[in-house]
Parts: sequence; structure tokens; C-alpha cells
Amino acid sequence: MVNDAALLPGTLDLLILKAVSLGKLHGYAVLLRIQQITGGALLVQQGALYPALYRLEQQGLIAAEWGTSENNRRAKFYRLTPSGRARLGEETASWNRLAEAIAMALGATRHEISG
Amino acid sequence: MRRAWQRLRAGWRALLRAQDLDRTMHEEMRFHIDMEADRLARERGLDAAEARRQAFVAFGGLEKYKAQGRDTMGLQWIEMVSLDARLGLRMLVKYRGLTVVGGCAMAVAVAIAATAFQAFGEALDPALPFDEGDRVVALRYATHTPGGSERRVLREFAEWRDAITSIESLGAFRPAQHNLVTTTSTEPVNVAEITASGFAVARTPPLMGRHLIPDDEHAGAPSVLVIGYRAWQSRFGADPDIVGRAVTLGGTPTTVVGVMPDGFRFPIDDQYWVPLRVRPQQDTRRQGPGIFMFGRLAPGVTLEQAQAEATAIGQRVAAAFPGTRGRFRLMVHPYTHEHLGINEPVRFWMLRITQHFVAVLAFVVAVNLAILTYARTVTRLGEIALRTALGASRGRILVQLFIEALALAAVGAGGGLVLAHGALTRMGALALTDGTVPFWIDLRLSTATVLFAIVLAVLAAVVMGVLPGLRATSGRVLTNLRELDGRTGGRLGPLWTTLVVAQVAVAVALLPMAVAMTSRVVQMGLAPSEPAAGQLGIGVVAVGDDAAGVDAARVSRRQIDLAARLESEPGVSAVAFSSGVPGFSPGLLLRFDSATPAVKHPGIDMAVDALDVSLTLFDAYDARILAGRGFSLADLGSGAVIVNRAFVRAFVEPSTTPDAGLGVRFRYVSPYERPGSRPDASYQIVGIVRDFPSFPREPGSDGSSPTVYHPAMPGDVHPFVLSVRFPGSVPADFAGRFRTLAASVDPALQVRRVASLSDYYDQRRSFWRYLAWGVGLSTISVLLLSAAGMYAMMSFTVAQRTREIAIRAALGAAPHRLLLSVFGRAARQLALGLAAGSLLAAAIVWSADVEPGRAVALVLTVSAVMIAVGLLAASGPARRGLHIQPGDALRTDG
Repeated sequence: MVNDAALLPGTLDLLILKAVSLGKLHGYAVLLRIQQITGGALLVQQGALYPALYRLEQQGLIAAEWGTSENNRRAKFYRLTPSGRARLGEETASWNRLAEAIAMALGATRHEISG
Repeated sequence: MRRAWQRLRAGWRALLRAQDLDRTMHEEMRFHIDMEADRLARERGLDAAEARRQAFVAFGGLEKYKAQGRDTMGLQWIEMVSLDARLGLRMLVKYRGLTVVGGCAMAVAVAIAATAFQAFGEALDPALPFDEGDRVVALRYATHTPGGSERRVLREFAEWRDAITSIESLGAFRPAQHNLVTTTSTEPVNVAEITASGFAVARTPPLMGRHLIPDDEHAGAPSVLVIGYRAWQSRFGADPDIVGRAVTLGGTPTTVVGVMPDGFRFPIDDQYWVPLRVRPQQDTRRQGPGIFMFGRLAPGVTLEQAQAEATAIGQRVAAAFPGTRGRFRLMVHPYTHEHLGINEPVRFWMLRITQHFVAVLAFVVAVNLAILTYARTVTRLGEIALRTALGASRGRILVQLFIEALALAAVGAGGGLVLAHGALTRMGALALTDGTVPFWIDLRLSTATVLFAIVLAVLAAVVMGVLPGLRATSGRVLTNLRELDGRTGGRLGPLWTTLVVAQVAVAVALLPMAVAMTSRVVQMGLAPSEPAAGQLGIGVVAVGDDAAGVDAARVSRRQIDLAARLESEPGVSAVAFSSGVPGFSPGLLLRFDSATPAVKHPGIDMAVDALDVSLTLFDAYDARILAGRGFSLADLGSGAVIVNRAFVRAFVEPSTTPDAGLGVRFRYVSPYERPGSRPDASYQIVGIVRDFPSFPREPGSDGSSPTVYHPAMPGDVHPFVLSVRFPGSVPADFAGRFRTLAASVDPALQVRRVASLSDYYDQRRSFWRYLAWGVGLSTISVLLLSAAGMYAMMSFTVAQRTREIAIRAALGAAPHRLLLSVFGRAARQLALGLAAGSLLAAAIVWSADVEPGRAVALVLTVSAVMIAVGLLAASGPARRGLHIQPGDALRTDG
């Protein structure tokens, strides 16, 4: 497995949507959740997370509210909105199709082509 | 589209919560870094400072991500605008000339537009400042012909009050003047005699006591008076026990029964209200005083429905009295419009159109400034191209140019609003010195007017910034980039030539007229006052409450008595009387006998001022008889008149003899306008007196108005003006002394006005003085703007050719030939503009009746100024071109 692979453009939004779909999280916890669900395989520039979070919030895909963190500090928590859930579904299906296509392309053999 | 809307919404939200968003973003990112630092300290055993340092590194540039966050949330837009605004302010300082000229021109234009918007808007607003004030109406009984109103309708009013159903609380009032006698003073006051329904229409409860009630209107009811807050404060010292206090009003013991709250001045600008007594059985038709009717539209009734009912009622009266009432109609109008004379749709729309048309003035200025700004924008083409090459969009550059222009327009609009505030305050004060301002007219800058000025500034900024910007950014980037090292793109085609020609033409066409108007008004406002005015005091006196129908013998006795007491005062050298203040007497039309050979226009109606004067008035005013003789006792009732020099100048054929005009006979076209004169009365000129006062009454005339003086005896005129002459200046306590003496003659004598003559003249002329300032300021700003526009265009046109001049010089062309070629082109443009402008100017000046010699001189002067400005503007860049080293010119070519 390649460690700390660079993120493909556009995938950060998808990862954030997936992370917050699993539960309400503050920004730092989103980062930890992405590292957790990707097995630490993808490198996310920590600061880049926030412009992406604000963008998704502006688009109405996630919603934010202030709450108290696990160490009793004020923190901003994000959750998935219904339209965010729908978008996550669409993006996941699209990604799976792309991944299958790429996998199929990369798995092709000379025999299959000539056959 | 949806994306743009989202951005706009985000931007708007961001604008409202900009600081809040920035703060929460900062807090959220700090939280992240703290959490990461804690983790690093916990998991890797780092000390706090090192953990924190590594957390910052891992985060990757706090400020960079904050900037990205701001951009995402629309906050970047605010930063961009604030940057452009700062740049715009710097441009104001950098291009000081443009700022001063443009700012002044915009300020004057916005001042005129805002003043007109406020004044016309107040006049056209149909609503009174009452609960449902737009439903208060006025009723008028009139024919279709102008001035055909019949106000003597007390009898009809009593009938209509019971008959009409679509208008509630139908009421009436008549203005009157009575002497108010309190324990401390006696003064004439304006009183509204009004039906009790007036207070129902206004829906305003009294502050103290009660307002008028229907029982007060009955014959035999005790005399009662309701006073306004202002009168209570000033005349009664805010006496808390005012209700029930006894006063004497018009000689009748009267009880004050109530005080109305501050601001209540219905029906016009009133502070004293007494009941109007309507006695339908006794008042005969077309008799009695004139009244003004008003009411409130019944619930659910429209103005048109009320008019339909009023028309039907009017038709019934017309059918019953076809001889006297056949052509009269009963009309219903919004109350405010009726009392401001806006009672015809055509007048309403004329005012409405004028109100908005004045705003066009601001756009004329804006277009002119756009030309100036364009010249500035073109000099910055290189900078614009560089920004475009670095990724700035065309929209972004246009926004920048718009904000720069907005900074200039905002400076102008701010100055304009300050000027408009001053002008409106002065207008209100002037209206009060010579009459009243209706209570619903508020001559203070309203929020709507301020918004109007802001909209004007924004639109002007679009014209000034975006239009030149669109043109400047339409070229190709590469072409524009060449501008950076001084290479010009040669982009000034026929449009620029047209602008130069149009600029010169408009200036030459309009400025002579503006200068002529200004000089007339300035002459009027600043003309020296009458020499004798400082030694004269005047008092306007009436005997009794009603101006008409006063016993002449009583007037004569009171006048003689008062004059005698004034004459016996120490320091008084003469007392004379007249029917008006000299210089401000009413106008009449006269016609010379067609057989009179010496007059210019026999058989044609001519307007003159007519004044009845005592035999000694000319002496009191040091008015020398220039030809013929003065008045004697034998002239009384004989038809002998004296005229002034202005009369002779205006109507009598020029002659070398000083007595030209003597013996000329004339009649008045409407003799009944002169009280007491016979319908067939004919008058003959027996003397010519010097013009006094020597200043014109209004602009347009060169001196005094043509005036006819008739000899009169005490009792012939009412009210009368007493002129009191002192050997030195008028004493400071003249007014108080005059009032005391008048009260000692008869407490019922009304001293309506008393002042020194110089103060009176100053007050009458102050309007023209302010107008002179206004017109002068406008003309100077137009002149400045034209000259600046001219300078910018010519200097820019020649600057475009600087390198061409340098190259031709390098190739050996003689400098004087080059200069000739440059000036020749500039001169052709100037000449074309001058020719077009002169033709237009001739047409305008001709129609405005300016003396031909003066008109030619004005056109020539303005043309000379334009030529001088044009050549001055062209000479600088041309000289610079000649001084460029040929080597430099060739090196930068291509």
C-alpha cells in the first residue's frame, strides 16, 4: 500500500461528506475520521479542510452548529443535510462506476483484447 | 443563474455578518491547531511549545486558509470593494483638478436636483400629515375659466353640508385678521374662522381643554377661541391655566377654551381658531365672505365617486339658477393640491415632469465628467491591460473603475446635499418673511431625497466609470500593453473629434445665455439700495378687521390722528402716506389715447404700477420732480398724475426736450381695479419724478418699473402705508414706538407691518440675492466644467500625437511646420464647434430677448475663452513632443 498518497482533485469534498454521514463531527474530528476510514492512506492538508467545509456549508450539503467538544471547548459541529446525503449517494455511485471502469481497464489482458 | 444567485446571497449574508464570520473562522481553526498540539504532546511526548509549532506546520498556513475561507463565504468581495474604495480615494487626491471641477459640478447639479425633488415632492404629495391624510379633500365651486372660482358660497355650503353623503365632516373656513388684546399686548393675528368639523377631519385631539364643537357655531353662543401650541408658548408664556382665560379678539370678549398640540396648524398655517358661524336662513346667495370648503372621503368612497356626487349636486344648482350658476361646477380635489393651485391634471403632470426633468441636469454633468474620466482612463490603458494579463476579468476592472467614479460622485452628492439643505432652509425662511408655508410642506431634506441623491450618484458613477471603462477595456490586451512603455494605440477616431466639437458647441451655445441670466439676477440682488431708505421707516396700518367695507371717514380720522402723533415725535422730519410701499405697488393695465402722437404704442395695453400718494410723499423720499410740476390740492380728483422716468423711457418716444411725456393722456383698461375711480376716468401726466427706489423689482428690467402716482387724501386708501422720515438713520425702537402710538390712537388699529425701509427692501430683495448666488454658482460650475472638458480633450488629442511629432522632428521637419499642423487640426475642431455653437447661441439668445449687441459680445467672449483654453491645452503636449530626443522616439517605435 502506498503511504500518504496525494488526494485526487474533487475527492476531498466526497470524503468530508462520507465522514460527516457517519455522525456529527467538528472540523478536527472530520480530519481524524478521514484518516481513520482511509487507514491513513491519504494525505489531507489539514488547513485545506476548512475552505472545503465552508464550501459544502454554502452549498447546503452540510449544516453547522456550535456545541461543546469532548474536552469541554466550544467547537463547530457539522452534520449531513438531506441534500448532502443525496449528493453523497450520487457521488459514491459515480465514483464506483469510475473505479470499476479504471479497474477494468487496468486489469485488461492481451487475451481479452484479441479474443 | 442559480450559482450567481447563491453567490449574491452568500455575499449579502457575509456583508451583514462579515466581522462575525471572520471571528468564528479564526476560533474554529485555532481549536483545530490546539487539538492537534494536544495530540502531538500526548502521543509523541513533545513539550507544549514544540507540539504547537508542529501543529501549525501541519495545518499549513493559517492566514492562507482563512483567505480561502473568506473567499468561499463571499467575504473576499468585501475586501475587494474596500480595496477599490481606498484606491478611488487615492485617485481623488492624485487627480486633484478633476476632483475639484467634477466634485463642484456634481455638487451643484445634485443640489439643484435634490432641492427640486424635495420641494416638488412636498407640493405634489396629496396626503396631509394626519391619520388617513390622503382622504382629506377640498371642494371648489368654479367655472372652467382660470380664476373662475366662486368663494361666496356660505348659503350653498349649508345646503351641501346636509346633502352630500360621499364626503364626511364637510366643513369650511375663512382666513381673517383680528387684533388680539391680552393683559400684556395688542397685536394683529391671523385667525381661521372654521366649522367644528375641521377638527373632526384632522382627527387630532386637543392638548388641553377642548377644540371647537358644533354648538360654538350657533348664533348667540359665547365667543370662544382655540389656540395652537406655538401661540400658547410665545403669546401666553405657556400659561398652565390658559383654558378659561379671557382675551379680546377683534373687539369681542372671548374665552380661550383649548390648546392644540405642537405641529397642528390646520387648515393652512394657523394658530388661532374661532367658530365660523353659518346661518343658512340669513346668508343670501353670492353675498358674505368667501370660504374654503373641505371634508373627508366617506369610508370606501373614492375621489371619483365623490366627484360624481358633487357634479350631480352642481348640476342641480345650475338648473335651478341658470343665469348666475349655469356655468359653475362643484369640484373635489386632494386638499393639498387645491391649496397649492395644483387643481388641474395638466398642472400636476407639468410639476411632476419638471421634478424629474431637473434630475437630467445631473446626467448632463455626469456625461461631461464621463468625457473627462475617459481621458483619464485612456491614460491608464497600460495598467488595465497589465491587470487583465495577470488574470483580472473585464467585470473586475469595470467594478474598480465604477468604484473610483463613485468616490468622485459621492463627494459631489455629499456636497450637493449640504447645498440643498442650505437652499431649502433659506426657501422656508424666505417664504415665512412674506407669507406662510402650508403646514404639510416640510422643507427639510427627507430620507427619500437623500436616497434620490444616492441613486443619482450611483447612476452618475455608472455613466462616468463604466461607460468609459467599457470602451477602454474593449481593445486587445496586447495593443493596450504597448501603452505601458508610452506607445499609443491611436484609438481616438471620429468619436473623439465629435466629442471635442460637441463640447465646444454646447459651451458656446449655452454659456452666453447663462452669463446673461446671471448678470441680470446679480444686478437685481446686489444693486444699491434707495439712498433715502436708511432715513425712512414704514408702517402698514389697517382700521378694523376687514380690509374691505371700512368707513372712509373713520379711516381718515385715524390716519390724520396717527400721522399727527408721529410728526410730533422727536426727530421726525416728515410723515407721508401711500397705498403701498414705493417700488412694490400693484400692477394695472393702461391704454394711451390712440390720437396721442408722442407715445410708442398707442392703443395697446401696457402694464404699469399704480400708487396713490399723499401730496408730500415725494418730499419725504427726496424724489425730485424732473419735469412739469408736483402735486397741489387742486389736483385731487382732477385726473392729474405724475409718472416716473422709467414710465417715460418705456412708453414715450425719445425726444431731446426734458418735458417729453407731459400732457399725455391715458385710461386704465379695468378701471374697477382702482377703488373709487370712475369707469370713464381719464388721466393726464402733469409731472415726471425721478425713479425711486432706483433698483428693479425683478430681473429683466434695467431699473425701476414704470409707475403712475395718483394724488390722494387721508381716507382714500385702506389699508394705508405711513412713511416716516428722520434726519438721520431710523431709530432702533421705531417699530415699538409706532405700535404704541397706533394703540394710543385706537386699540383696534392693526399695525400689520412696521420696519425701516432699508430692512423692508432688503427682505423683499433677499430672494433675488439667494437666486443670484444659486445661478452664479451654477454658471461658474458649468463654465469650469466646459473649460476643463475642453482642456482635457484638446491636451489628450495632442498628447496622442506626441511621438508622431517627435519622429517627424527626427526626420527633419521644421518645428514651426509641425506646430502649425498640430494647431491646425485643433483649430479645425475648435472652429467647427464654435460655428455650431454660435448658431445655437444666436437662436437661444434671440428667443430670450437679450439685447443684440450684448448677445454678440457674450458669444464672442465665451468663444475667446474656449479658444484660449483649447490652445493652452494643445501647446503643452506639442512642446513636449518637440523636446523628445529623436533617438528616443525612434528607439521606442515598433
